[in-house]
Amino acid sequence: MVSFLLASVFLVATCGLVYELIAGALASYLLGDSILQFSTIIGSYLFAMGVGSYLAKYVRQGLLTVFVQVQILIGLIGGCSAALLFLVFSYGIGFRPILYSLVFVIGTLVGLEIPLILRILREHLPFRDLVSQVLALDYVGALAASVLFPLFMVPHLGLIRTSFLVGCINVVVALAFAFKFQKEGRWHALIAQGFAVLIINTAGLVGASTIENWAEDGLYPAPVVYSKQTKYQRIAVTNDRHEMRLYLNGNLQFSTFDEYRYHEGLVVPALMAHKSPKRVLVLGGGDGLAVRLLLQDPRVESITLVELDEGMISLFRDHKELARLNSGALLSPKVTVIENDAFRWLEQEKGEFDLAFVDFPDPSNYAVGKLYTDHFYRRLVEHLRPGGLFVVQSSSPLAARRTYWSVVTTVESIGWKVRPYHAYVPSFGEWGFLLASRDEVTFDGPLPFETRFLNHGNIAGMFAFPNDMARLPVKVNRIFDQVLVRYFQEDWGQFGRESF
Amino acid sequence: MNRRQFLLGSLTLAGLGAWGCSNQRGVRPEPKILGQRKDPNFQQGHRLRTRDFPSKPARTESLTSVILGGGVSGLSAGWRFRHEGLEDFVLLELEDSLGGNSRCLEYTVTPAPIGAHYLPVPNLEATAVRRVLMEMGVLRKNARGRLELDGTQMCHSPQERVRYRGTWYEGLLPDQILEAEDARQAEHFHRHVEDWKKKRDKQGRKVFALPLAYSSPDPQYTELDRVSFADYAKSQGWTSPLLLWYLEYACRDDFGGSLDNCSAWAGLHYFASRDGGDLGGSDDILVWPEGNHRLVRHLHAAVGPERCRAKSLVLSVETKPDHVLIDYLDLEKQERVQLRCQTALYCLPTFLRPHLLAEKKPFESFVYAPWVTANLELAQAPKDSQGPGFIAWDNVLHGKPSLGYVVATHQQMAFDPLRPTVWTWYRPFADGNPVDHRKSLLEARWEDWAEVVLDELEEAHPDIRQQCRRLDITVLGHGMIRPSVDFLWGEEIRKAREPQGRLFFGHGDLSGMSLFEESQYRGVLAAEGALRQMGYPTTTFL
Repeated sequence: MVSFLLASVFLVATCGLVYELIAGALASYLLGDSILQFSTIIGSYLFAMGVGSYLAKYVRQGLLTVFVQVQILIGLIGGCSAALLFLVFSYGIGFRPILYSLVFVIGTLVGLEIPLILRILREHLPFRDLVSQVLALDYVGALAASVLFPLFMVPHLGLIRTSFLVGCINVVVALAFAFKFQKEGRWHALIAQGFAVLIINTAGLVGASTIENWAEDGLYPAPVVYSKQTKYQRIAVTNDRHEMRLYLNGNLQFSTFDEYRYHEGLVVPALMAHKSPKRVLVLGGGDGLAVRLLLQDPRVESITLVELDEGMISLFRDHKELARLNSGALLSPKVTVIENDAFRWLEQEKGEFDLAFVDFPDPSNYAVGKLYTDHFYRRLVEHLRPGGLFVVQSSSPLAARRTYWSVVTTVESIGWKVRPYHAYVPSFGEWGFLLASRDEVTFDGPLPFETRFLNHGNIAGMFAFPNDMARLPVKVNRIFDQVLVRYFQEDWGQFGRESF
Repeated sequence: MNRRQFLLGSLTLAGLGAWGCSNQRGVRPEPKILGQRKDPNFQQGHRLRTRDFPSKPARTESLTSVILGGGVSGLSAGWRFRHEGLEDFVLLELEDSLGGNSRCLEYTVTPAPIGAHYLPVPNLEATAVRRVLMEMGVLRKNARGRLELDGTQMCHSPQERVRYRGTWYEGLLPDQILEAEDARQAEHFHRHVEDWKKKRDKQGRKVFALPLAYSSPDPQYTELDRVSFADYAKSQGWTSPLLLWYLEYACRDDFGGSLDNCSAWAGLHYFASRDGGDLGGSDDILVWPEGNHRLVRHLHAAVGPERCRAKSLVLSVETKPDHVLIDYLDLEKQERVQLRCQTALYCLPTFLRPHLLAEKKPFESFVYAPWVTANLELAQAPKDSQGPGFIAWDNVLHGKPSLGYVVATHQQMAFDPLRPTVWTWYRPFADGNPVDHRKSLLEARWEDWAEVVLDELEEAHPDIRQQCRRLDITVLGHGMIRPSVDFLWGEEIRKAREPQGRLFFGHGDLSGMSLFEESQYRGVLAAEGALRQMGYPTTTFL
């Protein structure tokens, strides 16, 4: 009897701490800044446990049934907590209130456990032994949890399965109690409840992969906090302590750590070269990060963003955490967001622009490669006003040298003047852009806004290419002969990196 | 087969049978696939054999000229007439619509070809092809005065891919699947072809030209027509199964034949004749959603739809010293009409000549390969082991009896991987006796062929049945003239080309290859012959 109860103490203590760790880990994955997240989660959880302990005094009779009831509730709420939090996050609705409410509810329930157990065991043990043994086992359980959680549970099960598994343990403890003390109360309803929660948790454990594609986790260097298969691509957002990253089909698009370098490289030289950039077109770039920078230039009156994937737009416009990255740029009244294929849009629409920024994924397949053909650029310049410029992100001149220079050669083939330039973006390495104009341009204008990366000194350096990135004689990328895709596959293949 | 294999086979069959039954019980319900046979009008055509039509014409018309047949050769002849200012002619066509093998079917999202589906970038010698492309705006002079093709109408990358042992590869003979010996032989073959491309005879003529009439007639080269492509391959030491598959694929694709029954001259012509002239590479091709019906539409408009009489079954052609009499059956009115004309152009397949002319010999060296093609209307592109960015225009299944399928929406610019599309699937009957094939094809039901098509595609695209909304089958009994051994440079074909008084022969089968360039060449040549005879001061387009 006593050893049964003490074993239960150990188990429920382990479970209680695991829920706390799950909440802390999830919050730091999803929101970043793990010190803040862990501190506030632990604090709230401990406080809630205190509340639970205090509330225990209002339990006057039926200690056993209350204890079993509490276990079942913890099993249900705690068990589902990780899955629930992931779902809440991916729908982009009030993640923090729900996170802290859950932490508080679980903490309160867990806080009830120890006082109740102490009172149940009071009749079987002297007070001195009772307090020592229960608290000792409580702390040993905490140790077990803190070792098992990072070493076994997270790597092998992932957070969602861990939480369902631990939920099962709580319910099993509850059911064991129920069967052992069957004679001492009304147990049928509780046993039924217990089994129901056990079924929920087991189903969750088995079906966890449908809630979050865990197999995918191995593909990325940091935990995936959001992933979605759209009509066009697989979008994944990862997060660890330092940075949030966006991947499309496994290719890195940006890291919050250094995306400002990339995006300043994309937009600043053109803004300096153009006297009066009023109407701006952005093709691709549904993350809104380039748009955010463009909005900082007061001369820019309107921005049209054409993005193929509605999934990207809704993510970076409506998802709270992700829309914060672009400061809500996609909701600005100056910005018109259009969901369409860039090629189709250029063929259908008439609008004319002062600046166009072409920010497509790298030409890793022929469907994207079409957007890097001479035919595409001819269509694009039909939409530029006199004096208009356009910029193309054009892969890495270091890692994909032929790719980069083929984009340059292709734009030149339509008769425009091209200024190739590059910037160092640590997550990507050396990255290449080009600025195309009908006539020669200079970059002596003022900086368009307060920049973090570029200044007048280093802008000049961007246009110089060291020997290992110097121009190569390569072919024009044509719609009927997309040499670019072959260059890209061979270049990156040589570089020894499958995807970037 | 040993006993174990037999047992295994029986078990598999039993299993399949059980699975089939469970399927029929609706365990895995599939959307109903609609479709029908879109064959040429065999029934009416076969009336020529039974002579089941009025014996006397109901009325007679007088015209300057009449063109028999509304395929590419007949339309090209009419196009040539109009360029000379000749207007007083008609064109007779049995089918409801014009174009012959270059017809297309209309679907909700796109038209799609039933047969001919691409045009190689024309060589310098293909002057008439270039003229048509100029008229269509596909070929233009650029700012620097140089001729340039509209790149958007050239086949977008990726042009072709092959599925070999469960994996797709770009190209038909990709390096990745070749073992060392295969690669060595493939390299030898490619070098060999390059040599032939550059080769000129003593007069400076290409050995393999397109149209082939410009090829060197030097016996040193034309004797290659007297050996099979298989024997030629053997003599070159080409034994690699992958290389031989590739060579045979070319024969099946362009000739509806095999390595054994096509001549070496024809096989080499396929690889060595196309050089793109000054317009592009030898592999560059022009493609349109509706296939070569794009060209037909242009020719049809040039001829003038009012001159084209569809649903007209030609019954007889009689040459007189100063005119030609053509009798045809207006299938709509069931009325026999006689046309009296100064000249007539016979642009119907040669095998019909014994039925229509006084000639009684059966043209035995003219062998026609039967074809079955299928158009699949798909709710969305089916699953594929490659990403959506990699589906090619031409998709080939290695080792299958079909040639694979072409994608009608391939040339669309927008990236929309899940959009509805239409595929055309091709199956030539390259071996065996064409007469037997034709017989069994006539008897086959739509369901039988729909099942063959879906079964074959299912391996590469497991959800093809779920995506397929409509599947139309076209049986082309005499689909393609085959350049059999000793045919192209033989006596019979040469004689068949000769005009008979006021009757000129212009069908593409007189070239021995079923290609747009050849049909156009023969049609234009016949038209120019007739024009000259009628006193038009013609400068040739050829």
